[in-house]
Amino acid sequence: MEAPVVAVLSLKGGVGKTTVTLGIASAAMHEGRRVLVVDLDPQANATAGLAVPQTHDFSTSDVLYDGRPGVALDAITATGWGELVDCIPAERALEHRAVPSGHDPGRRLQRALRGVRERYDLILLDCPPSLGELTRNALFAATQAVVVTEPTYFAVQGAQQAVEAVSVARQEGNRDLSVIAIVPNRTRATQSEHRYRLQELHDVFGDVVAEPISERTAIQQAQGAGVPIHAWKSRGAGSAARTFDDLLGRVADVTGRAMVTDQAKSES
Amino acid sequence: MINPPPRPALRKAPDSDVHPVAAAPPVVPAPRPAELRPVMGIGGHTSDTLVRRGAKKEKKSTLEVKVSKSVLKAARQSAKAKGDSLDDVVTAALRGYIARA
Repeated sequence: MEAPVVAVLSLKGGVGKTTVTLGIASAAMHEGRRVLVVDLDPQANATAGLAVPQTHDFSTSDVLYDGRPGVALDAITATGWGELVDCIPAERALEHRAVPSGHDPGRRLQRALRGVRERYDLILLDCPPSLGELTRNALFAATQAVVVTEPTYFAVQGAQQAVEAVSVARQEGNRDLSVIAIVPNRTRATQSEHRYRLQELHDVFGDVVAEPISERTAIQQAQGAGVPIHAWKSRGAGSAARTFDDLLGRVADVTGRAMVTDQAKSES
Repeated sequence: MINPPPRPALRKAPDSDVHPVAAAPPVVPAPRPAELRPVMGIGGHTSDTLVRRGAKKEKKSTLEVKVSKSVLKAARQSAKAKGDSLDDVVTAALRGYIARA
């Protein structure tokens, strides 16, 4: 049974891709799922948020440079979140992989992840805020995409471009790739502009627009402390955690199958 | 039953120690203001016409430096790919550094 591979993307920076990646990872971990986070952003924020020890040997840069089938297994490292969540960390040098190089450069990650999907319940790809080779690799390796946005004019435009990018990846061969959620992040219900943009998102994209994630101090606090949002003790954290649970539900619904740990439980 | 041959392990990319900003020194350094002069005299009728003049031939000196193996390897590969010598790469990198200083 192969795990779903979910690319978390937006073509605008700073909208909260890593927040959503870590939130979904936290929700999956809370359910007892095994998760692999592949950090494809040279800023390595997901790597830091997962409290990956500095002692790791390899990064996504090395994996994409090598590109052999299954080689990603060698780069998987433990995280500070515990045994259910692993990571292939990013590093600054990942920027070198942002331009095409070598044979079939857009499918290097897909090849490298061969044999990895059987070991996890969910694989999350945290993308950089651009349409370069790193995002291309994510879109060819992914089975589903989550688009993150903010309820602002520029961010909604970025979401539209991200949805178009998914469509192009589908036309170029990844036929099963679909957008399972467009997530409005950092929303404030009291702001009329935010309400307007949220309505606009619903008008354009319909039911694929997920429950908005309200701006919460607890999310930043949990990230700063390198712990899952589900482990952060505050009322705001509880509310945010429930939103990520709903988002994880969309992943499971789309795949329509039990995850690996369910199989393990039924076999034991 | 035959066991599969050992799979070569993943290795660090040769450019892993190279900062992205410093990774690709220009093959031909951008012309500096001193190399762009108005055309004067015969054939040059307007003072705002600029031509690119080749860099003044300078006497070359030997520079002995120590760098990490990975940087040296990446620089050699980059130079080879672009048809430059290692001297060109180091000169371009130093010019960039001096310009930023």
